[in-house]
Amino acid sequence: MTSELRTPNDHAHEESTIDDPVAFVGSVNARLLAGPQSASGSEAFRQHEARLGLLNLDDSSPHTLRALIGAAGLVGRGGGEFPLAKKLDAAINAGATPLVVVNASEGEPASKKDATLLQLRPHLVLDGAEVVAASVGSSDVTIYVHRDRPDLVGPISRAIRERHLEGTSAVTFRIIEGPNRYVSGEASAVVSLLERGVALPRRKSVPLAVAGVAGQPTIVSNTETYAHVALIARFGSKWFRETGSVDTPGSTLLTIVGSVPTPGEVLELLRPVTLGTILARVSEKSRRPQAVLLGGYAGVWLDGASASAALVDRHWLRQVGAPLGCGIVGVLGDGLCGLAETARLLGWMAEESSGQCGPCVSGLPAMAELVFELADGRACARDVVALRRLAIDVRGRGACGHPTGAANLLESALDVFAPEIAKHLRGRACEAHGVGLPLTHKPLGMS
Amino acid sequence: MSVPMSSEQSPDTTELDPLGYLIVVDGTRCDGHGICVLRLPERISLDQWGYASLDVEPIVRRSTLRRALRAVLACPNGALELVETLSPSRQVSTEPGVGTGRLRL
Repeated sequence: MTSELRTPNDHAHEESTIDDPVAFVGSVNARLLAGPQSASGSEAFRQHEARLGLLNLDDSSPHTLRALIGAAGLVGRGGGEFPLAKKLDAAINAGATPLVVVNASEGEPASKKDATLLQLRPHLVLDGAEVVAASVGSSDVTIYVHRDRPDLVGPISRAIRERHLEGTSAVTFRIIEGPNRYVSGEASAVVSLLERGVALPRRKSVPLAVAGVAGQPTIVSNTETYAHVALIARFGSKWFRETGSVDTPGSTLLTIVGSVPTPGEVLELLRPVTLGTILARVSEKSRRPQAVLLGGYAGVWLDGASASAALVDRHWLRQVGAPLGCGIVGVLGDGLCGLAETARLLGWMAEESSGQCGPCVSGLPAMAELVFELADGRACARDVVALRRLAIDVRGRGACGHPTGAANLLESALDVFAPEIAKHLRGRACEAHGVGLPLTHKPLGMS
Repeated sequence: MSVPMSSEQSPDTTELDPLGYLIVVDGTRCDGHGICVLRLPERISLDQWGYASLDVEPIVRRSTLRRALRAVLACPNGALELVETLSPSRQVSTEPGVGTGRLRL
């Protein structure tokens, strides 16, 4: 491969071997990311079929397919980690024919894993959606993407056309575009868009799988979840369980951002290893990071030592209070200010509130402003107490998880950066900046 | 399940179904009128902006449930709701303790 063709995913690191726990696009040990290198672009249908074999669902009853997904133990990869089979069963038990929605909105600005799948392996996602549709007796699949993403809509519609021409598709696919906002990818917001054209989260008294769009059972799952289903349907649950752990079977996709040589790199983790091991693979002169933001902007900060020792397994991480979420690993290197970064992210989250619930509307801008002052050396000890209070007052409030996400980010920052906070409170002018994690627009309060 | 609101046969201390009921607020509807707090002060408080913040412990006493119902009815925005808490096996929601049943009155 020539250097001009190198994209973040065409890693400069040593090649992965077959036993390697970490895989990149096109590595021999990869599963979701197996196949051609990123430079080859979107994998064509014939190439996809030649590589993985025909997906034949003719002899599988819906029940068999649901049992297969259940035996695999696949959990959702958008962050909820809800068992897919349980969701499918709930939808089936609700009576009416369920709607199948592929959530391809990837509203986390730092996440690139779903875009990587849709751009490079669109047929894997579409196969999975067909299997899920067949497992609940549905013949329609809706793919939900954010507006102004020709880089996603292009490959998806080309892939749908290809399947149509080949005459292989048993389902009808349609692409629906929603506003490019963080909360518009939340499952109830997706349902709200399909139902009334407005992508706003709402309070769910009944799970969407039971009653979603206009009361119809609605299965909304993450793009990566469907890609896993495509492989489970071909190679079985036992094969799937060869990867991952007993508690969370299957490989998982991660996006590494921040202080790393190639931010935005997507990798596939085949079995649980420590985060330190993973970071050593993406960065040659790997030093222990100052801190790591795990799970996205609604996730938690871990100090460098804890992060390096953390086992990257969804179940394990959830147990220790740092869920992997959509798989974002945000690395904060030495000499950078975690408080400045947290202020940026909170300012962005405040702007991304859908503005429906009071605690979110009032609480998030207040948080962002106080953390800005703190990072700027203008805050006093009383402000830190006020920040703790704000986190408590927004946690668990509102129709969606947005305020709780902001509380996670804030509380973990107050814990992990406590020594820095002490320095900032003494009025020491802070020269350091944040790491500049990707955002879709300027955060609130930043000039 | 229906809840008899008459207390003829049931003294106020009667325990309901051990799983009880939850009083929940729809954050998109709460405008902070604060009337609910007057009806059920031990379960509802107002946050620093005046929005209703609810206790997550299920209501198991009949007397509390009666006042919780008054709080629900008092909200000018209809933001409050009483829901039955279901056993974990019947739950499909990932949110712990939040059941799928609505209180039928």
